[in-house]
Amino acid sequence: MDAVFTFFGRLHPLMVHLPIGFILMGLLFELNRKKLNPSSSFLKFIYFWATISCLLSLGSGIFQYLQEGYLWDEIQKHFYAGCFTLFLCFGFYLFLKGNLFATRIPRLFYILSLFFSLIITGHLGGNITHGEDHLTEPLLTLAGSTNKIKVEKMLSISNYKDQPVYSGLIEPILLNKCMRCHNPKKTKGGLQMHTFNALLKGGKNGSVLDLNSPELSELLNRIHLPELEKKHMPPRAQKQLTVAEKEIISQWVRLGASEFKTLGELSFTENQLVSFMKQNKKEIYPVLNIGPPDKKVIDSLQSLGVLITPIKEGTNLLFLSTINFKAFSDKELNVLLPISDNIVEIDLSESAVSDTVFDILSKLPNLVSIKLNQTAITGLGIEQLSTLKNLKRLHLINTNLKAESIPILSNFKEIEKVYVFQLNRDLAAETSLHSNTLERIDFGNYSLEDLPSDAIVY
Amino acid sequence: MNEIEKKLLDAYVLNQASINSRRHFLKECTLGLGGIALGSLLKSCVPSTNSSPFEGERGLNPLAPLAPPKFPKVKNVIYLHMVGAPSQLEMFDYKPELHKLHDQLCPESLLKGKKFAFIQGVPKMLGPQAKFSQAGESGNWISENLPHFKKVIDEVAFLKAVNTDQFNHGPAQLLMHTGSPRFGRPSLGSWATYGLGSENQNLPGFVVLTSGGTPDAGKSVWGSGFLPSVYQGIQCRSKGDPVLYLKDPKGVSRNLKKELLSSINEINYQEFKAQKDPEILTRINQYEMAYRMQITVPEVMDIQNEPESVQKMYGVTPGKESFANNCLLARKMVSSGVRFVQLYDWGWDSHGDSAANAVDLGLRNKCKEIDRPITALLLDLKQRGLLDETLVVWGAEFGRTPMQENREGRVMGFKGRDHHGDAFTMWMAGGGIKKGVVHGQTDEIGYSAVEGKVSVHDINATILHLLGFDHEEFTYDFQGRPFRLTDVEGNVIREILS
Repeated sequence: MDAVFTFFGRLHPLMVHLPIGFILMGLLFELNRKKLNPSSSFLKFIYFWATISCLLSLGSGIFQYLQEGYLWDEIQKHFYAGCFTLFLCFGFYLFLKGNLFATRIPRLFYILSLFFSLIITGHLGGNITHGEDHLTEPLLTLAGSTNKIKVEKMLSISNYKDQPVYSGLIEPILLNKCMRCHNPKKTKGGLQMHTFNALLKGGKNGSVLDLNSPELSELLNRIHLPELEKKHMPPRAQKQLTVAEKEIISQWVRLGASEFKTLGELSFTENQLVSFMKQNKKEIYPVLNIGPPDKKVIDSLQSLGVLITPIKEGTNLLFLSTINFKAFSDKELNVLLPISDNIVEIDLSESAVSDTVFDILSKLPNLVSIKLNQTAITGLGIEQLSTLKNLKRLHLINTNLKAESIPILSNFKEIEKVYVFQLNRDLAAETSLHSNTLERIDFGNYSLEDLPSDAIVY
Repeated sequence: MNEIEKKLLDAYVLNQASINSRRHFLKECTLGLGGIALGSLLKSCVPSTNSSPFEGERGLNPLAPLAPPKFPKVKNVIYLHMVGAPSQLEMFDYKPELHKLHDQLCPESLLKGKKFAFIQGVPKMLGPQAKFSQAGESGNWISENLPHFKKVIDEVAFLKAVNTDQFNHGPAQLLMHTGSPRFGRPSLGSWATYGLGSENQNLPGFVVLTSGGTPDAGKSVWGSGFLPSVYQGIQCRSKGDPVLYLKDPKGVSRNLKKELLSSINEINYQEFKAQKDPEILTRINQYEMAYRMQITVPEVMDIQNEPESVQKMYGVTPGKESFANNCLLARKMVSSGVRFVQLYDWGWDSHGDSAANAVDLGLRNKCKEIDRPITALLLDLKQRGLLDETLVVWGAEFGRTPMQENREGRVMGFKGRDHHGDAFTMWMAGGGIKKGVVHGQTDEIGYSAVEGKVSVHDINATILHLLGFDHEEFTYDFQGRPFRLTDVEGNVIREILS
């Protein structure tokens, strides 16, 4: 007898489509009532069968709930919505029959209520079988909001070692790749995977984790079977685990599948976790869609012997250096203006430029690094560089830099490091600065004191 | 046209004539005609709009600078290799437990299945022969043998569990620098110059400086393998002429030499156009480079011109061959745009067979030889703003055993340790490297890795990563397949990257 109930229960997904069909047909006739002018007995016929199929759906639904182990909390909304639909169907049938009680309510109320009640019931039912976000997930991806991936990328480099493996990594992986079919609402193979205890409890074939001999755990078997095998998980049609994810699950299971041990304790390495880490590093180069540089300018610079090359393949951000053309002087500086947007790093060390250089450099808005080592600059006009919003590094080693320039430099907001080491003078002594800006300005002049042990020979 | 040029041109014409044999004609005709036909066919398929202003420079100059595939963290590398393999247990890897086991017989379990270069039977354990203390803000451990290094200890990232499967010097050095324990592969520096070229057109892109002797594996450790030989390391000497045969011969003026070279190169270029052999370009380039180097190399290699304070900081001895000199030279090279500077320092093979090879005597002197120069190098790079864009690597081909060596089963005259590749220490500092971290850990006696084990390939993958390469995609086709520096292995050691 039990089997018959189960069978009847399992007919529910089929049965529910009958009232959907009948009600929709009735509603369509309602929409075109003036044109088609359906007879009252015809409409009564439709809503009679709609009511009957509603009853059958409700009955099969109740059996499915009783036989298949759904929780009341999960299905109650769907159940109430179904009852309400049945009630409306029967009510409208009575209305058509001319029942005094039923005709007190306006026809439009029945029609609109039936329409919404049908949609809500169907949607709630669908959510139970396919998972709550089955319908909305593609839209979320479309909108670029990928909630789930955020869960995965919770790890950060500084604290990853203290994160429990299960809650920090395993749970998000399972959530993404397994829980669609193994959750309290949808429990394929009797297995739920939404909590650690559910994993231990396992499914029809017992626990998926074998804590006594972890290597034999069913979880490992299933994910490592060839994809074509019927028992391979996740099923072939579903999103597969990545190599990194498999490796992480395997390591966690092999080391005892503990719920609370941390990534550090189970010696997970940064390398394994890199795809789960938050990527919040700021690129030092301005991310700008800069057009390709003028080929004529590049050619003319190259023919002079100026080194000019992209900072990486396929980018229009350029590095320029006068290392092979030290006669580069103020005259040539203007040549750079047509490619001003492209240059992000410039090295004019040992060239013949003078303080005029600051005027031109301030017109190269994307500069990240400037080197003017061993040039004749004194720092006159250096304040113009404050317009460079991307400037991070400034090298002014062994120049005629005046001490007055240092306070100006310390006011540059974005700059990370200024190198002002002067070989034959102590620039630091000539300047007085707040100690908080000293960190960004490197005066160099390091030395190594002699140690008593230096003289010993063993 | 002068006399020499005439003679060379005659020789060239004669040579060409001998090439134009019947076989050559057939080959040229079939391939040539076929090629023309194919070329015109293919042209219609290939979009011709691809004209980056930076293309085609490599055609004439194999050392022209190229952009790396990814944003690089460093532009230059200074690689310090201690030939012979220093003992990590007297320098960086602090093992107090080993003290307690000193002079006890090594348990069988440690010896089972292991191969040693010299140890036979059951050796005794040898406690650390140096005192250790914590230094810097990081509180990393360091031995008393390296007192100056404490000053820069917060700049470096230690790899305490490097692993190699080679236990003899030659193969281990080859593996470390070419990714294979056998001959024939290009070295790390060659890969770097092949991939990135050289910024300074008057200096080689890959310079090698040695002190004390040539590594056991010979010059292959800086060879170019199957890459065009223009990418091999160029050894500069700190004593005598920096580069051999660079000086003008007696009676030949620089101008005459220039004319001579340009006509030889013209002829060679004609030959290249006919044969398309990249080795001809290499030759042209080397002649030109040698000519340009005549002026710049002596300039860069001259450390006497450096201010006295700098000389003192490094502890250099001008006119002699020393590691300190080489460190200063390395800094000078890097600031002149040399891409890859490789330093080899000989004399670290502390077997305990002599006082010089004793871990409590000779090793201490060796430590002294490198302690000040390396510290000075890091500080000097820092104050010149070069440490941000230079990677400094310190290491050796392997490490040494926690057991005392008992060559041929007898007790040695001095305290020494055998070769050991299971776990040893290396460090990196500079651009893209996390400061003051330790990655990897050895067991209580420093014998095996218990955490953060990294391989030689991991190290090379990391260095390439910092230079802007994906080590898995950086390949060179040879003998019908693509080759990589890291073969089929290697993971970037992200734990030490900033």
